[in-house]
Amino acid sequence: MSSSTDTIDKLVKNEYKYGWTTEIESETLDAGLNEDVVRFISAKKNEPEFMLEWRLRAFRHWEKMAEPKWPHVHYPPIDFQAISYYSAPKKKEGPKSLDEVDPKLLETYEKLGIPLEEQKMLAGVAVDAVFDSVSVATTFKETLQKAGVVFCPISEAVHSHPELVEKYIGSVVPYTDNFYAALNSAVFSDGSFVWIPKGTRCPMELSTYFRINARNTGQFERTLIICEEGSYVSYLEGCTAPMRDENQLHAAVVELVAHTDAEIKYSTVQNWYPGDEEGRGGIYNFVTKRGLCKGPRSKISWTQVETGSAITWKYPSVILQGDDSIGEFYSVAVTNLKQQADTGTKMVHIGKNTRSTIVSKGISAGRGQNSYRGLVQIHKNATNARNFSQCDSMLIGDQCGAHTFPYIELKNSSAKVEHEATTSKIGEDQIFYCNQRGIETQDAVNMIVNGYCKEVFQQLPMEFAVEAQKLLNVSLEGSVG
Amino acid sequence: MLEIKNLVAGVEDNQILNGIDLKINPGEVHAIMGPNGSGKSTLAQVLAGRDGYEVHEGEVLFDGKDLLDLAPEERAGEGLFLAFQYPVEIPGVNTTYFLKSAVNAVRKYRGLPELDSTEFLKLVREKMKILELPQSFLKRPVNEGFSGGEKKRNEIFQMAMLEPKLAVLDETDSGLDIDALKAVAEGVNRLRSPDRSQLVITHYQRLLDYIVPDFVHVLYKGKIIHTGGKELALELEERGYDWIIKEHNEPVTA
Amino acid sequence: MSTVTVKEDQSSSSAYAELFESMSSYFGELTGSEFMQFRQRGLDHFLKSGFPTTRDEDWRFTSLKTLESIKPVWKNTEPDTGAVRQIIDTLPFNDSQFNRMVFIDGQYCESLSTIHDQPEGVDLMPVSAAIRLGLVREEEIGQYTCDSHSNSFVPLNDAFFQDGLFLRAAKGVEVHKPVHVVYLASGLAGNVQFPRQMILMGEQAKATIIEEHRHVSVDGPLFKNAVSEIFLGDQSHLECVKLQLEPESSQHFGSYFIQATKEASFLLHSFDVGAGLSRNSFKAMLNGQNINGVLNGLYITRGKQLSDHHMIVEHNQPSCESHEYFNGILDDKSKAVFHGRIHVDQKGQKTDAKQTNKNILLTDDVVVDTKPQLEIYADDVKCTHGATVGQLDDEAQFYLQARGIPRRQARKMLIHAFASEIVDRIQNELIREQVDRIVWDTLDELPSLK
Repeated sequence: MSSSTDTIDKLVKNEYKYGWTTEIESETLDAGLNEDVVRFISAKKNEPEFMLEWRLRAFRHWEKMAEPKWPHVHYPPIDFQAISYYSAPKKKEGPKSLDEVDPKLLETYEKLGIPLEEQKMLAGVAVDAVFDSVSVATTFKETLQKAGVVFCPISEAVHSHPELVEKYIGSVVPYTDNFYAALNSAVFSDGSFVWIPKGTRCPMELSTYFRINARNTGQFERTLIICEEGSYVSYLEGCTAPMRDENQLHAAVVELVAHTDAEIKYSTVQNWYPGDEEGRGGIYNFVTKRGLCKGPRSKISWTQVETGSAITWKYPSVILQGDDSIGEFYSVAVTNLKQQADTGTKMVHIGKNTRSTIVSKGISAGRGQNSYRGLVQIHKNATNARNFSQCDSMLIGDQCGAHTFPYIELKNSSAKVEHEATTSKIGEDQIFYCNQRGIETQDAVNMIVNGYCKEVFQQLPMEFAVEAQKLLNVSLEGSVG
Repeated sequence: MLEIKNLVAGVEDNQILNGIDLKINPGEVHAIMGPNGSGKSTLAQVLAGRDGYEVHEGEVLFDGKDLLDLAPEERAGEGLFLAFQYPVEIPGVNTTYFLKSAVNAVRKYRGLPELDSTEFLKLVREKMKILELPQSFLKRPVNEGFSGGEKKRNEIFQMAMLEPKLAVLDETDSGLDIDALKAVAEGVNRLRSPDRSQLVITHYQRLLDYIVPDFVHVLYKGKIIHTGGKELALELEERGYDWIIKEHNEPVTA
Repeated sequence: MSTVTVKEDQSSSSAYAELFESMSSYFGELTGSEFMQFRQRGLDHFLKSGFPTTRDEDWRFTSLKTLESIKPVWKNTEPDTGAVRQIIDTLPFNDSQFNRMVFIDGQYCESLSTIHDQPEGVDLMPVSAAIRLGLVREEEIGQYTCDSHSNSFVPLNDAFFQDGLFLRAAKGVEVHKPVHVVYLASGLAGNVQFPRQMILMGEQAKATIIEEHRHVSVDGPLFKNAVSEIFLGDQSHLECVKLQLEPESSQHFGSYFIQATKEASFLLHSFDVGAGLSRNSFKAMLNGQNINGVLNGLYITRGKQLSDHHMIVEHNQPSCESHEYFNGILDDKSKAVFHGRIHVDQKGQKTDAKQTNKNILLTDDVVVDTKPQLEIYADDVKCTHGATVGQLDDEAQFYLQARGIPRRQARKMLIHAFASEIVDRIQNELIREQVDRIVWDTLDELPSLK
């Protein structure tokens, strides 16, 4: 008994490996939020009138809203007036190639194990790196251009493709949707914009590494991905953040639109600073992610591996509007230390023969609290809709919690909805079995946890799967006996 | 190779082993028999170092080293293998991956170079032939969805892979039909060599028809009360345990 | 937070304040002055909170608009025992094999009741009698309805409670013959009823209870709000069957509170087939080790019925086992809501909890909202839950048809099998048979199966 608790303690006391600060001069706005700040952000980006108007409408709406209280998480109140809403690395002139990028930035990426140069050659991955809200390096533009794919910072798309931005921004996540979506709409700094033309299979995996840096800066990315008829894209998002004392707010919005026969695969590996053992510091990750299967036979698939952040509040969702459309959600969420996660998905079945699959694997260790919250909604006309949900929780140690809050709302009798959930711990007998075969406890835990998460990892692109597995091992280092 | 001296152990307040003495030399096969609840499986668990079993007295030397001082994986590294009575299922963990991790962990412990994938697969193929296991075995998660017989064969297969100095077979015959029993026994026998020993724990004599022991010990109330040659097993099968227990309970002078 | 806020809709609350005044002399007669304070506290609480709205998470899918529109009326009239007698004579549970206690419009009717001789240590009587005999004091009532303030139906019952089953079994005693408790509404005594039950089981005591809700007449709306408090001593055993067979004009609210101590076991079966709107809430607090609890229920709805089940099982001590099984069969334009939560405290190691909610939909117009939840703070537990919503298994239906069974009958067989999963868990054979018959009859009446 006692020896196992010791090991658990050891495992739990694992420090964040990506904690440091890059010193780069930032142009940071004073803390506080009002209409002028919104105007300043818009002006700074030289945005067209429609964007400013939209931001202002969002801001006015936000002022009337209250923070959501229903998630199963606890944190001290956030003073939204104490946050600075704009920070951008100072750039001399826009870098044309990697050589022109601030070497310190490149160093930061190297510490994270994402050498741009190498990745460019080896992985064939185009990286649109967001460093504190503003994109600093974009590669592989040419290949993408040839295919007709638009992949650029959204701040750029506002100028280069205003008609697309105007048409789609807020069309899946309107600013009225929730408190953080409204805030994001008012002050979003930057993010990725992807447009895949009709009948095109995007020639490479698109990837963005986010990284939060400047002190006390809330980061508000906005990502918009549109797949025209019959097109396909796989988008990867991953991030780590430096160690901080203050909690940092992160409220991103991601909108996906899949037209007829189009498919979007969106994968996330999230490893932001989780805070220390006492729960100090750490990122507040309040994200709204939603995809719209607009056309018939379209498909949207979310895969996430969430190991970081002090608090995660995130429900990547799919609105299945087109007949025969498909929504998928595969998730691994780890809470260790004093992390809290309230995460899950919404599958809204509107069209006929729509299908959705939910596979959620929660892992709680340390004093972490992990909640799955998911909604499956079958509308009146969603004839023959199908959903299958599998939510498993694993508990490691006796100080953590695992909770499951599924909601099923069904208004069509031809639909079939199945939900299953289990809660288990890593069996002492499983660990002992591995030990007896010569495998150390930590390796045994990693092996068992990775086995448990397999269904989700299989959904990730290869190189991401490897990274995710490593991340999981690191996050659970020292967690079992 | 293995020397157990006055081993007193149990679970929580419940003392199960009441002073066991046993010496196993290299190459020897010992069988431990005894009625239910005599402490047979406890002995196996204590030797392997399972959490929750407490040793109150005595010592266990393995090649001169204090076995009780080592973590379970170190004992495995030293060459102790336990074939479990109830092998646990580990969902999602593929057998090949599991075995490779085990083999290399043990090799590392013994100061041998780790095997790369080609070498490992060659070894696997070699050993699989011995146990006539289908290839599909390797792709399935460890013990998950295995029948009772498959689980036991998997144990012996792992034993073949890890090449232990001392193999403890805990009721390996339970739940096996006669064909599976023969296959398992054959696998075990192939691993017999002058420098390897085996400790076979069983309730029934039938396994000992196939794995022929050098010594048979009778365990009763946590103590070895009688030791004999392989013929003792047959006698036990015929006459049961009562006569030995009675003999044991009678004063020596009688 | 803010200071006292004035309720927007004061009409329903104030109607209950008026009702309280008009009933106070009746209350004085019924339970004596010593309970007035308890009643007053309940009333104050209710007046402050009012009925919940769909803005409350626990009531999101169940609107109480119709209930609020009922203007509560109470008349202290003598029940027409003749009409009641006719109903009683057709009841499924024979009074030679069962103890029978009949409550008409919330009042005990001795002439229609039969209580067999009981072993020493069993107190079996109406709550009002127990109060008069001093078996229940003011501080004892409401002890087990703790933390009920999210549910304003409990304080409302505290204020207005009339009568109901009182059963106390001392250590090691088994109640002689099952107790059949009938709550009848005659339609003559107004439109509100507030039954209250207290079941107190001593160490190793045993009992079986059937609680049945019926109407004599089906005219006009009725609001029934029942509260049951159950205490289970060490190693005691209780099996309880609730049958809710009210007409569609009725709105039925039942709240069960169970506190169990070590090694107790209980089975609570709920058959919810009547009432336009019904809400059955169960809260089981497993406060000792090795408790075994089963909540088992079937709801069959048709027309515009709404059947709502809401339950919380708290595993507060190690090594308890709890199972909740709820099956629903929905026809016409009816609606079902299920909310189940298993809460495992940090102390609840070795908990084994299982929860399932399965629904079969017979038409396109039904609505199901289900929320099976797990909240777990201990690591060595086995908890699972599952929910399914769907139609009858086509393949099974086809299989039966291929063997020559007509489609209609095949459907009914399959649905009956689905219902039997629940019925079969009743341990008492006599009760099981009768309940099975009631379930068959109900299924026979379903429009989709005719």
